Amino acid sequence: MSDPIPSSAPAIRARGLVRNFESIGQRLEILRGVDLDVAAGEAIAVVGRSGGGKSTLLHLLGLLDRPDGGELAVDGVDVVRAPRGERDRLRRDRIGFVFQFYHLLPELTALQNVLLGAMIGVSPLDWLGRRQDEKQRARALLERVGLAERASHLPSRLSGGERQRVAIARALLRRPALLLCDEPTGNLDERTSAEIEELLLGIQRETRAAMVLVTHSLRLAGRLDRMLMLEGGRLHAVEAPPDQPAAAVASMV
Amino acid sequence: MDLLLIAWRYLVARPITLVSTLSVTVGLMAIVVVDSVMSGFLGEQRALIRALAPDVSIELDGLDAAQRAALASQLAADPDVTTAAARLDVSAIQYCREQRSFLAAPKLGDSYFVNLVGLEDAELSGPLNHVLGATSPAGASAAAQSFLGTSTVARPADPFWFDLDDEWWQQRLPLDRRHRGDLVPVLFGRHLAYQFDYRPGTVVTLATFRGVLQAGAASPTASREFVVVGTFATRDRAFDDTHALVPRAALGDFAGLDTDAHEQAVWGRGTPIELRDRLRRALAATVDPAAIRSWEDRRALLLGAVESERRVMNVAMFFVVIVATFSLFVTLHQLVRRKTRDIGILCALGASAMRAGRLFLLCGLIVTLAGSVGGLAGGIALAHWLNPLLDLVERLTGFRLFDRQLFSFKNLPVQIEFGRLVWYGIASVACGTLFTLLPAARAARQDPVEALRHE
Ligand SMILES: Nc1ncnc2c1ncn2[C@@H]1O[C@H](COP(=O)(O)OP(=O)(O)OP(=O)(O)O)[C@@H](O)[C@H]1O
Ligand SMILES: [Mg+2]
Repeated sequence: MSDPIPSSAPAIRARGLVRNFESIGQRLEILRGVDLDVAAGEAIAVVGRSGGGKSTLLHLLGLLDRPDGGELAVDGVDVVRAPRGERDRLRRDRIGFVFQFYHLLPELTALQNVLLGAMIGVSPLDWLGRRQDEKQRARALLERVGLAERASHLPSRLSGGERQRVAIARALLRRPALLLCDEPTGNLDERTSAEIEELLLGIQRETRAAMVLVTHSLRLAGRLDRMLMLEGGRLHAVEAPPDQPAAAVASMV
Repeated sequence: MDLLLIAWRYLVARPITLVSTLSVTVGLMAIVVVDSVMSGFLGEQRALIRALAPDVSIELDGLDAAQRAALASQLAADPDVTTAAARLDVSAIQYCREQRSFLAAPKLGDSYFVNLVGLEDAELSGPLNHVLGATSPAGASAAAQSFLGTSTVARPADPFWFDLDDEWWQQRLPLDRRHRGDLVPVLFGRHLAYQFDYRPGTVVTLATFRGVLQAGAASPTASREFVVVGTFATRDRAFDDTHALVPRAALGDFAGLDTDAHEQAVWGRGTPIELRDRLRRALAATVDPAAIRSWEDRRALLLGAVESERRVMNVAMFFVVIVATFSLFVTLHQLVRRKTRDIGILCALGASAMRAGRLFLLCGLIVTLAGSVGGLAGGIALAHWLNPLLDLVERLTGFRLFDRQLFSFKNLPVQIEFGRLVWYGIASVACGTLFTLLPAARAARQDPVEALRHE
């Protein structure tokens, strides 16, 4: 679990990221020049108004989308100019996603969902050779997130919190250097949110993966190394007094 | 591996894909059964068109006696030739000597044409043996008592040259013909024999012109008595209606021709066409290649009609394949729409959009493959047991699909041609893949971010 990620390169280095959308003939400038540095192993929170472009930013950082302008290096690789295959590989091996709506494949069991990342691009023959190791690791991850007993259950038979635990285990399977979490507790009740928070933060400390976490929960945001606010298409640092961050930010959002 | 697992889980989670699989299966089953029955009918038709034709025949006109002898010995030495025998064709008139039944079509004193085919024992006891029926003379004494029930009383291994002196035969001859020893045996087509009421032992007078007809000159005629020793039946009733088989040597003598054979009949290994080509090469020094023709060459026109039936059916079957696999398009289209978000998830896990496209292609491929294999297997089984099945249906419901009275065969002719069936399988997999390709291409073009936002 605690395999350190051997990477000294900054997890993210973004300069002037721009992303526009066309909507019914109208041009929406969602990101207007985002600068962001995330050191290896650093955990930052991104907060901001709904519709501000937080998810859009995460998609850019996670190489699911391409910026319309600006520079972006992930794990030391210039991903704007990298060929598609390289971006796919980077996304598979170095980046883990956790989404608000869990995004598990409903037809696969919890264990299979976790294993999926290890299967992608592996021929059935190679898979036969690796299956036992990967399965063991997936089971260990499920145990770490507290779901060892539910490995063979389909997502439809798991609660929201349990599904998010599976999603977290899935994100960790490839030992990512960068965890991107888009409102991981946004769909959960108070108590479950707190549990998932503990889990995520604990895991981040154990794996020393860099983390960019989008959240509306200021309590959670305040527990990370840094808090940034996305406003007007740009990121701003939020300086909050450590004893009462929530109140300070709440006044700004 | 991911694709295989997900595709499999997608399919088992959706009964609708089973419907698609079944439609391919049922479509292919129908194709296999129809094709097998059609092949059976076409095979019957070919047999009908072929009648008594040998694999390859070599015209002997223009060859002198020495050349004919050389040809015969060359054929005898050829390892690919199983049977080679000369044939002679002579037209004759049969004279209705006695009217046995007032209902029978030929009336007393009428005369009718009959084509006499002069054959050698080698052909009749060899490759043509099947036209004689199965009755052997050992059982003939009992069986021949009802002549029409026993298609022939000839000995299959030696049809003509049974012992006419044998007491069994002598009993059947008219009194004044017994123990004369100058009767020539003849086998009539079954239908002709039936019309004229010819039975084993009936003495038939046949007449023909002797030698070659010449304009302005009176032509000498000859007549001779033949004794009916049995009948033959090909698939072609019209042929059986107009032909009789006699020993070639006796026929040559009877007709007074200056030739003892018109053609050399050859039977051999491989297809008739292959045999023809090999003979054309081997005999190039002796025989004009144009004189060497397979039976298919000689019946090209009729066979062409059969082949065009086959082509029409191929086109029809192709449409069945399209209809059977079309449901795949609908199923896959729906699957891609329902699973759009999964495309985004797979991309987030590091798959390319291309890979998502391949996932759906694999789904379609599994369905078509399963459907095709199932359809081929089911169709072959159904075709194989088609006649017992129809019998069962008839026994249970009284419904008869196939009217035996109309055909010269008892059961639906079924001929399963595996080579063709493999092509149908390939065509259905190809069509299924094609119909899968469109939805799969849509999946491959899907933007992962939009897919993730998809509800
Ligand atoms: N493909 C698109 N076409 C047009 N507009 C888009 C597209 N994708 C996103 N947008 C718009 O971009 C804006 C930012 O969306 P985004 O999902 O990044 O916001 P967000 O900060 O994550 O909001 P929330 O907190 O509600 O999740 C929204 O106004 C959205 O309507
Ligand atoms: Mg969002």
